[in-house]
Amino acid sequence: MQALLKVALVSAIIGTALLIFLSAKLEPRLISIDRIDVRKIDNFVKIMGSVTSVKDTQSLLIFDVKDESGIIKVIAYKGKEEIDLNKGMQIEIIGKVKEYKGELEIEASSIKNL
Amino acid sequence: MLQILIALLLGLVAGCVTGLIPGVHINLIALLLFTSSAFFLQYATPLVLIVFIISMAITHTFLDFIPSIFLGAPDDDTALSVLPGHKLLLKGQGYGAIKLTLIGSFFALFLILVMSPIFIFGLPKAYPFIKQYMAFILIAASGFLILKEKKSRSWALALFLLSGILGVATLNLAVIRQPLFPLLSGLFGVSLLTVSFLRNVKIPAQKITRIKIKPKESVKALGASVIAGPLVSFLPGLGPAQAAVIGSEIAGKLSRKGFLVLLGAINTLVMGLSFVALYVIQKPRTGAAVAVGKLLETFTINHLLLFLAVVLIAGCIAVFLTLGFAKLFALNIPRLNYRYLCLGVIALIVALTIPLSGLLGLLVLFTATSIGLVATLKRVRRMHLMGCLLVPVILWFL
Repeated sequence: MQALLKVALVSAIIGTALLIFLSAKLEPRLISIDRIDVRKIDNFVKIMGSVTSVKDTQSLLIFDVKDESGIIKVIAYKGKEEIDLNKGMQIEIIGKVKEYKGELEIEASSIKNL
Repeated sequence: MLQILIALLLGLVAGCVTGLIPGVHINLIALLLFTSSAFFLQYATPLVLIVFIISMAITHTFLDFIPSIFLGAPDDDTALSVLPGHKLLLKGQGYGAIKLTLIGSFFALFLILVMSPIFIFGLPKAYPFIKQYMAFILIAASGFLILKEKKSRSWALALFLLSGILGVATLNLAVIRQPLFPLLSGLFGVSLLTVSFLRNVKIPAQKITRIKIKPKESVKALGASVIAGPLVSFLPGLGPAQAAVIGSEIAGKLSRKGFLVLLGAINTLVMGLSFVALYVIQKPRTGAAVAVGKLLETFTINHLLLFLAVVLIAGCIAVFLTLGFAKLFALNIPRLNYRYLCLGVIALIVALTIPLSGLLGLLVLFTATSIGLVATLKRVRRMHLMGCLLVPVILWFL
């Protein structure tokens, strides 16, 4: 069982390191906004579009993103990094699909200015 | 009314199926149900669907001790890390062990009713304070449990952190679906099953008798569950096993039998109270409560009363269902080839991982199993592996 312990320990460390690497490198496939439905809840998605409105609260930025297929609300938590958003900006969002008060929205984990 | 009764009965059947499948957590089923709710809502109202989910979730909390006690038992070499239920199984008392968890689960149904008004009036005042210090409370709880590991504190800490890093990496993987399934199945399921398989564990013939427990010991265990149950309800990431250890520390040392009563009580109490917590602070703490919260637009006190009635009725019927299935398992498990049974369950979990989480899910399952194996072989209690959820939650609150 000593050999099994060594194998398990090495696998645990290599597997965890590999997953850290993959979590930093892998991105979800770009999809259009109309393809976001309840089946995507709690899954990560990537969308591209223009900002149509921005609401700035104490802890959150709430803004709408529009592409040629539709529009969706995006929320981003402030604090960890500064987010500078303006109406009309072209951006790329990666985030988790959430449901809030019966509406689907994206909780952004990364916002890129294009 | 008839629709509600049918939903309750169907929930009982579904709870038996999900409870008896090893490695399948009720959170996963609730989430899958919610994501397919558009289909179900063609045939039933949201309220009927919610009754089904609550009935299923409560039944599941009674039944899920059957696979966890009858499967994955290690041999004597790992005796220090053997769970109380497995110890009794290896003595031919698996059925009695299930009965002990049933005592806890059954009385928890009434504790839910007693504790609901306390939750309704106390939680709105306590929650803002708890939320403010959440990260520190969770760090203190994790540190306390690691310090309790007398012989291998450094391994407990290392495994807590390693499973925590794995949790952070897995939950941040943008391309994986249902990351919790392979993560938790690997840490807590496949690793134990692998040890059972490799060590060729023999399960002795099981006696269909009850295990005597002093009423005082049961009362003490139920008292501990009153402290430990709310802990899990407020604190995200803490599991019933950790809450049971903290609860038994506060209530005074419990015997192995008392610990099983406590585990049963916490399992059912946490599920029942999660619906009350959803009503009071709008925070779902179980997958079933998440689904209920999403299906219900406005949550009134009348809804809560209906849900508590469903909890009570489903729980009372689940007692008899659990006894029946426990007897079936106790009589048949020793006749089966335990090695092949464990191998079959591992194959089932692997087979479920591919459609649920994809190929990356297999990598998560393999890594999580490796960490679980290290914990089992180093005789460290596996509850420290809940670091996989606690570390991401702590980082979120910091």
